[in-house]
Amino acid sequence: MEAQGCEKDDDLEQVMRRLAAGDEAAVVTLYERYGSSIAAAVRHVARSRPGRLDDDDVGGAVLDVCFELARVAGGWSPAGGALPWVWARHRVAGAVDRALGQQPQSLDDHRSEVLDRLGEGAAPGPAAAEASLLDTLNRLAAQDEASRRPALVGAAPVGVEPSAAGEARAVERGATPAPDGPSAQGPPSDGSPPGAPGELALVGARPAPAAGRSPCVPIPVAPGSARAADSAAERIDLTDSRDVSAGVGLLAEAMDRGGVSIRDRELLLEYAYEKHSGNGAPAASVAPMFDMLEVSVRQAARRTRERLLRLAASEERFAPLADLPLLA
Amino acid sequence: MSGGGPIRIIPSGGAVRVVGGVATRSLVREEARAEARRRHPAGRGWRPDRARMLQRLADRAYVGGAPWPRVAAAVMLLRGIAGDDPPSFARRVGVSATTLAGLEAGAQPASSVPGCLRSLGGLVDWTWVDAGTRSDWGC
Repeated sequence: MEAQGCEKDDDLEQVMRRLAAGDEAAVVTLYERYGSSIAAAVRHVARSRPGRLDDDDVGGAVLDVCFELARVAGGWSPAGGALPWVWARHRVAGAVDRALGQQPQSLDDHRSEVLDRLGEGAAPGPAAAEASLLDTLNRLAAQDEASRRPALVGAAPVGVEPSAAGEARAVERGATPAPDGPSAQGPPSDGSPPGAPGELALVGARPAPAAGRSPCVPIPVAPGSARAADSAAERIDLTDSRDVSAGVGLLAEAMDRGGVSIRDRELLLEYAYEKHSGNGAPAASVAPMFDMLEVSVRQAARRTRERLLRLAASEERFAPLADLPLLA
Repeated sequence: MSGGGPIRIIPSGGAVRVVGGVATRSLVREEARAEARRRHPAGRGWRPDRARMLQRLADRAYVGGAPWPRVAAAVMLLRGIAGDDPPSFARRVGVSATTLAGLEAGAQPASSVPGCLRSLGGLVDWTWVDAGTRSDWGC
């Protein structure tokens, strides 16, 4: 039977003092005399949890709480006015949670929706909830066109309708695709069709970074590919912010010339984004997006880089691209 | 009964007790409280599981390296139930504090347990204590 009244308080203080002094037998005293009160505290916590504790579980949790209280008895003071198992309510909750274990919960509509979205994110390609770099650049391009700021992307050639998905493509691009475009450079490495001439994209701004990612490294991009296209003799200094935008247009054109597929463009951008964000294993992060092996991601990114670097080496007009961190 | 106060009836388990008098007032109050706690749904159904506590103590003693963990658990359980500190309990059972410390540390075999402790019935299964040594732990 438990101690009672003021005598109970004194007795409890004595038990807690013995516990604080390291007397393990006092755990038994606590269990014997105050076990039912601790059991009530355990049941109180358990009522707020999913799942049910049977009497056996409660008994085990009470034991756990007693030993937990023994560990922290030195911190309890009767002057605080709280009973030890109230004062240590989080430890009581911990014991209850251990006794309950993992509890299955039925999914309501909201949770199902969230899980569906997560499932979509696991599918090949960029997550649905997070726009791909290409999409982002295309959207920004449309905004930039409207605001007369430098556009971030080149657009489909004049006369080409925007994609069925309603992607806004900037149409400022004055340069027409080179006559010896993608086909002259061989088929895309992954067999997918190369991006439409001028459709493209380079890294740069990205919406709010996803959780766990560091902010993106801004590589301003631009529209003005006309300048890059027609000024073969003109050197572009990519370290100059005024020329960076032109460099992006140049890169877009180089990708067209190099026959880089849409997938490889996006892969290179994602890979570079991860790499320059400080991710030590960018391939590991990018591989699930494209349902590829890490080694394949590394190879695809390397092939694209090498293709562009060969172009930069062979044509002076594309030489500035060799300085891009993207191709480092 | 003592004193001339009002007679009060308090529940006591399944029986009914009649008490009265000023001297028994606190007894009445405390017994009523105890009975109320016993009947309260939150505390209902829980009774100390001494076998489980014994096993838990033995496990801890085993982890602590005690050669006879069950002896340590049994002696500690009995002292805990008594609510005594080691000197008081040693006096109560008629052993030295050193002997008691050795028993609680599991350093002595079950044959060293004082007879007065073994004579306590219903608290410890001494057969279980006698049968267990560190070498066959985990059964």
